[in-house]
Amino acid sequence: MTRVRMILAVAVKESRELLRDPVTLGVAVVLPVLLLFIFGYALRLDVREVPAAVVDLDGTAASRGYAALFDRAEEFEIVSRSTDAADVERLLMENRARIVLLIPEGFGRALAKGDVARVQTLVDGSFSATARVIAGFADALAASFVRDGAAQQGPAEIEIRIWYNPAMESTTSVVPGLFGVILMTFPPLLTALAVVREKERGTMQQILISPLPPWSFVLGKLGPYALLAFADVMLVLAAGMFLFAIPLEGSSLFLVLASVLYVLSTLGIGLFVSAITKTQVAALLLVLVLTFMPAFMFSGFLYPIFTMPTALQYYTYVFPGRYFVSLCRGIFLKGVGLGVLWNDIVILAIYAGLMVAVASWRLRLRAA
Amino acid sequence: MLRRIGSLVRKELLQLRRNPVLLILIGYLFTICVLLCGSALTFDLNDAALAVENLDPAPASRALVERLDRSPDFRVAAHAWGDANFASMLDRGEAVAVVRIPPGWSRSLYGRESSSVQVIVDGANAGTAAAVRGYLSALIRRHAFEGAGLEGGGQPAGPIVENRSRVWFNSDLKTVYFMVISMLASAAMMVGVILPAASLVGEREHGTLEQLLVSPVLPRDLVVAKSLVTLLVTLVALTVGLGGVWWFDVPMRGSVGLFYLVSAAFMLGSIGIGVVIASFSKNLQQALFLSVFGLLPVMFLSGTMVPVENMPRLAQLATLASPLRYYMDCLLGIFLKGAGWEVLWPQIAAMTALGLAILGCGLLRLRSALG
Repeated sequence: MTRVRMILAVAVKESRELLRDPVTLGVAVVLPVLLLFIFGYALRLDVREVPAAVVDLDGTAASRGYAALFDRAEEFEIVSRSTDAADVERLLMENRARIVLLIPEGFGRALAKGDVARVQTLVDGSFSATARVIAGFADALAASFVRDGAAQQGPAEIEIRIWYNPAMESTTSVVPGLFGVILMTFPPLLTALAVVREKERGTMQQILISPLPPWSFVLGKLGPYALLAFADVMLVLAAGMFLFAIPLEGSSLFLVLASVLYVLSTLGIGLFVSAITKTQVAALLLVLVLTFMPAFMFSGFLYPIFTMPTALQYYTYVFPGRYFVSLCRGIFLKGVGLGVLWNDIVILAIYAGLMVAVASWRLRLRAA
Repeated sequence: MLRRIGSLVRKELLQLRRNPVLLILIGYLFTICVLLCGSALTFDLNDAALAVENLDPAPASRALVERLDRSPDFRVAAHAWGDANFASMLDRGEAVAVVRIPPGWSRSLYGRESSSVQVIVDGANAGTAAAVRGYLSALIRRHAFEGAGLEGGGQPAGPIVENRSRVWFNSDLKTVYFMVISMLASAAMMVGVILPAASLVGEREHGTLEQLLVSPVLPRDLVVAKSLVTLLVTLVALTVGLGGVWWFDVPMRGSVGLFYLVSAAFMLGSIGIGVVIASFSKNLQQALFLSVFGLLPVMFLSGTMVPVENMPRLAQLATLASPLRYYMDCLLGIFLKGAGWEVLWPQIAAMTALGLAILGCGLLRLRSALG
């Protein structure tokens, strides 16, 4: 009973400190929602209405028909028309267009004679991910051109379906992954700062000589931050499900279990950082390097893991982010359960156990 | 006045040297971070696994399967049979897409029958799915038209337009160029914000700000000295970062002088943001919190992750207020396009004006926060 009271006392003290720090609290509440908005709404990789320019040196009905084919396609939007070959470089250099259709003189004549007419397409390659898709669409559109400028019904059509995310909404794939980033960033950051703050102020010694056992101190400290982290998850979950209509195909119980294991491992990382750093600034930066960066870049949340060099693919196994992102996407979008995801959950459980063990061993060492 | 600023600059440099954590952070951002991200992060597909079911035993469809396997984007990892098998491959993430060529597909190339290749893409990562869909549909469509052209016969005939697509500025389509340039720009932004914010808040926390203010040093001198040090450190760090440019063979087609000039102009804005943050924060932790997390939206929405034109209109308008957006445009222009002053002056002018405005606001806020 006294133990519970002790933990509660630490938790209450910690919550008061948290409430007195509007900047930290504000960042912890506002940032997840901001990230959701940015990744769900603003960052898109799909190729739609790419600004295109036409440099038409032919000026015939046929060449205008060719340009019209691109204007009608939803992938392109003609933003500039010119009849001067010198404009090609200027348009790409000044970022006015990502793609320039260059129709040489004699285009119409060749078609009238029944020859194959030649055109050129120049693509700005500075952002290669979309440049390749843009060039591919341009090739396919050019191949589908027929005399009157209507897109030819292909000799063989393709039927593409997207599973798990039929509208290919960025939000749908980002929200489940975003849980991984948020839970990886805030709980370890806040706990590391909370423990190191005591060290920096010299209040750690006072606590160590008090009758409070180290682990109840740690539990009391972690409590408010774990609650805050789960509040963050609920916030993002609610925003994702109600504002962006993300489906939850799988079992919510399984999701909660996975989240608890994940938070345990990230809290463990936070405790570990607090055990090896002396100042809040160092703790903050170390947490960023150990949790935020890997969760963000090496978890498969945005950048797929299978495209990374092999050595760096192994690097992703070191952090819990990749297991949780895979679990979240599986549960949310694919509706799969233990049968498919058992290895992710087992690794996460081992990870959580290991981190908590290492962290409490380090802290006990300090206490002794 | 010059002597006063000179000695203040010396003091700032001394203090920075005694702050190993910040120095390590700067080093990390411009070296390890650039190398890690440059070599790992890409939206290219690099041999993404496909599951293929070919129910059409004709040469044209076998050629399609071979073409898929040969393309640098895909490899045929499995020949799947039946819907159940497809589903489990996509569920487990063992294939990014399933391609199914129906019986008689090659006959439809000559218009005798109509049947379509069916593609199912794993949409769990929307970015990958967009690339998979784009590459696959272009590749299959092209194969179909070329096949029709080669093998002739019925209707419709092959393409009557021959297109040659050429990619400018990055003809090998390497993502790493963009990645390295974007990392340098973001790192310059972080350092440009964190250094002045941390050192201003540090003075306040240690109570040395008041001491300085009662000395003959003017607040203006202090800000000028801190800005000079930030500028110096960032330019040195960017020079170190050019090592990453060299390592990844990123082309430098423009002028190095212009690169430094543009970076210096960009510093006005980031130092300005740093001063604004300092005026809002009580201690170092808050300042760092604000500079790291408050900056995230600015960093992501300035064309450093995806080009600005891929964003919705409203977000595009918002980027006009971000100095990083102009800096990113300038760097891509200088490195990849070989753009010079005559092309970039509107960006440089906008960036400078915006920077001066932010810095002015920051100084006003700082003065009222001190008063």
